[in-house]
Amino acid sequence: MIWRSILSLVLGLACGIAAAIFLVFGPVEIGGIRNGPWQTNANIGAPDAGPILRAVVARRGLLALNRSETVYFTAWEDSQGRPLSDDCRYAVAGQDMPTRWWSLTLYAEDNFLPRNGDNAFALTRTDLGAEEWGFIAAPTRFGPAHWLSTRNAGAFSITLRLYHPEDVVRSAPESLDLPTIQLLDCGADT
Amino acid sequence: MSRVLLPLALFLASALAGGWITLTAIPGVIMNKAMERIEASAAASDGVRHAPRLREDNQTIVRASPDILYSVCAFDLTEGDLGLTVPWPQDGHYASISFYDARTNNFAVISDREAGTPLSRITLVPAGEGLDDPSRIEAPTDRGLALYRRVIDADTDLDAANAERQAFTCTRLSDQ
Repeated sequence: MIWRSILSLVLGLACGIAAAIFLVFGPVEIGGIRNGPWQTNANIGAPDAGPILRAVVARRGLLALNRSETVYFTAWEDSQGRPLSDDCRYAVAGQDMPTRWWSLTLYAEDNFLPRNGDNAFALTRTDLGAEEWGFIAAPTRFGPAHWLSTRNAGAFSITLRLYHPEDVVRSAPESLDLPTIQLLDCGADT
Repeated sequence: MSRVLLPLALFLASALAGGWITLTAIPGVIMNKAMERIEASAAASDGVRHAPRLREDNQTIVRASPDILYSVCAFDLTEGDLGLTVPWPQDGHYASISFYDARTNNFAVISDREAGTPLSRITLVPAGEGLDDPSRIEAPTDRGLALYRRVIDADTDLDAANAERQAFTCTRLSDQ
């Protein structure tokens, strides 16, 4: 009986530790509020974040600002819910947003900027303007349009940062008109 | 019955405990690594590391922003209070100083919008030593990071922003 109890304890500890490590370092994304393909979480950077979110943010977004300064939205999918892939081309379109300044950054599957030598990993309000705008996310440049390079990015993501957001961004993030991400084509067509 | 229930209960309880302890420990471990790296890289520059503009070949932290210039110092208040000078952009761009404790909590942040002056002087002190003085910020843990961010929205801003942020300093007050 004692040996069985000890075995249960050891197995339980091992399973608990393994599950926690998988949760933080595995393919689980930060949950929270959805708006189209975009996800955000009100607790990022906040002291009242739970242990799971705190650990996930430490792994994926260490040193994030709290929501009074910046609200982060990240898209791992297109507007139809399909995972973003560096094998495809996407048209991203939007308009100005209720914030002092914003930027869009493309991150590779490993959460770093794609290592592809293209120097095309971010666009900002300064680049895209305050009216309606659009750009292409693709492995190669596509005509004269603004471009983010997905080459070598794997299952990439795009992070939208809203600096000094207006109150509506924090109070009703699900109601914002955020950029759409439309799949154009994949594979040989690119 | 207890031959099954007791081991099962022990398994579940220890799984929960193992998971909770691991989740609680991970932020501290990751933060500790970041602080060690920053302390090592900032040792030759009076404790502040003015990171170069983020590019694909100089990344050290996940999901950092290429539109921000980062300057950072690690603090250890067991060695004395930390005095900081924080310059604010003269071109109207966003800038902030944010403080993180040893468990990654962002416990204080001041931005250019609140600053009101071209240069702020801040003292970081241990918990309970703020003396109701807004220029004295209390840190919940003795160790942590102070991170200065400054938006650059075009390459043409880079030289001016780089020069401006040299006024960001972190000084251990026991050294003075």
